[in-house]
Amino acid sequence: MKNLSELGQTEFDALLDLFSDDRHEAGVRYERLRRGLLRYFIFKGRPDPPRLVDLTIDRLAAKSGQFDREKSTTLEQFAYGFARRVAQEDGRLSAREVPLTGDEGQAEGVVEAVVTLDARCLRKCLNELDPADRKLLLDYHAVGGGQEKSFLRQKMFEDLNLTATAFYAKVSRLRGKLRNCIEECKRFEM
Amino acid sequence: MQIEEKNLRDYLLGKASPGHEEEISLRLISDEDFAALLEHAETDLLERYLDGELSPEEKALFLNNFLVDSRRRGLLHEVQMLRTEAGGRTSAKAAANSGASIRTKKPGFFAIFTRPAFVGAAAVFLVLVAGFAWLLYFRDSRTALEIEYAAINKRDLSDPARTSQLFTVNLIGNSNFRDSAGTAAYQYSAMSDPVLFRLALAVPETEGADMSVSVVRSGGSPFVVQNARVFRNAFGFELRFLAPKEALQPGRYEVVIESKNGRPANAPFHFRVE
Repeated sequence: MKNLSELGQTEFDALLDLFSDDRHEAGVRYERLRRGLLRYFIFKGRPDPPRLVDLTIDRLAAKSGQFDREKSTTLEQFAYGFARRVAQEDGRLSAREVPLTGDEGQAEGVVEAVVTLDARCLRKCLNELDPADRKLLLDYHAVGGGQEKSFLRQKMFEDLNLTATAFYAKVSRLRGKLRNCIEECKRFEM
Repeated sequence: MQIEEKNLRDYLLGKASPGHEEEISLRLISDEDFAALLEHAETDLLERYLDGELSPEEKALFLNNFLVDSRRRGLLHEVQMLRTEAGGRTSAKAAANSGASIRTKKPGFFAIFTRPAFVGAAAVFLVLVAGFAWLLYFRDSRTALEIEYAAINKRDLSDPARTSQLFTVNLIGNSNFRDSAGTAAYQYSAMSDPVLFRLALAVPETEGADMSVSVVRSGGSPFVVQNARVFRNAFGFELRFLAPKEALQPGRYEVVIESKNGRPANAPFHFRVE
C-alpha cells in the first residue's frame, strides 16, 4: 500500500475533492482533518501517531469514491472508520512485540539518580515561577484524593474567581512551563 | 454537547461503550478544543491511580492500555515529583501500586559514597544512570500541540502553491522588532491557522536539515518546533516551519534556533503580535 508521500497528484486531487469543490477551502479542511486524526492517535496512546495518520489518509484516498457528500455521514465519520481500523491493527501488531516492562529491569541506582537530578531541577524551576503561581501549583498537588480533593480544588478556583475550565487550563499551562524549565535545567546539568 | 468525566476516563482506559467510543473519537477529530478536556481527564486518571482510587479492573486497564507511551509515563513522573515537593499525601499503598513509580530513597545506594574507594566509580555510575533515566522518563515532554505540529512540520513546505494561502511571518535576525517586509508587528486577527514562519539564516546550514526552534512570548512558555527545515533561497538559506495561531497571542516574541548541541547558533529573531 502506498504511503501518503507516494500519492500522485491525481490521487491527491481526488482526496481534496472529498472536502470541497473550492481548492482553498478543501486545503483548509484537509489540514483540519489531519490534525484531528493526529489528536485521535495521540490520545489512543499509539507509539507513532504521524505514521498512522498517513496510513489513514492513504486509505481514505483509496476509498474516496465510496464517499457520498449528499448522504448524512460526515467526512469526519467516514475518516473515523478508517482511523479506528488502523488503530486496532496497530494495537494488534504492538501486542505481538515484547512488551516494555516498568522498572523491573532497572538498577536501583537509575531510579535514585533521576530522583536526585529531577528534584534539584524541580526546586530550581519552582523558585523561578511567580510566587502566586508557585503557591497555586503546590497547593493543587498537595491535596489528597477523593471528596477532599474535589472540595479543595473547587475552593481554589472559587477563591481565584475562575471557572473550573479556566482553573484547570491555568494549572496545565503552569505545568507546561515548569516542564520546559526542568528539561532545560537537566540539559545543562547532565 | 456535554460528555461526562466518567465516560472520558473510560475512553482513556479503553473500556468505553461503542457509542461513547465513537462520540468521543469524533469530538476529538472534529473539535480542536476538546483535546484540552481529555488532557485534564488524563491528569485526573493519573491522580486517581496514585491515590489508589482505581478498581482492580481499572488499574489493570490503566497499566495495559493507558500507561503505554512515553508522554504519559512522563506525566506520571511529573505529578509524582510535584506531589513529593508539595508534601502531598500520596499513600505508600498507591506508590507500591505504581508499576512505573519512583521509589523512595534507599540508603543502600548512597552508602557507597561513604566509602572512599568507591567515590569515583559511584560518581561515574551516577552520571550514566542519570542519563539513561532522563531518556527513559523525559524523552518526550512536549505538549500535545507540539507533538501535533512536529508531525505537521514533517510535510513538504517547498511548494509555494501549497502554502500561498497561509499567513507568513518573514523574519531576519537581530531585526530589532522589524521584519524583512519593514513591518514592526503582525495582527493576530489577520493570521491564518497555521502560520508559516520563514527565517532568514545568517549562518549557512545544510539544505534539508531539521533544526529545533523555540518561539518564546515574553513572560510566557515557549512553543517548540523540533523539526523546522532548512531551504535554499535566492539570498542564501532560510528556515521554514508552521506554528499554531493559538501559540501567537498578542505580545513580544523571540525566536531562538538551537544547533544540534543544544546551544543557540543563529542570532535570535524578534517580532510583535498585536
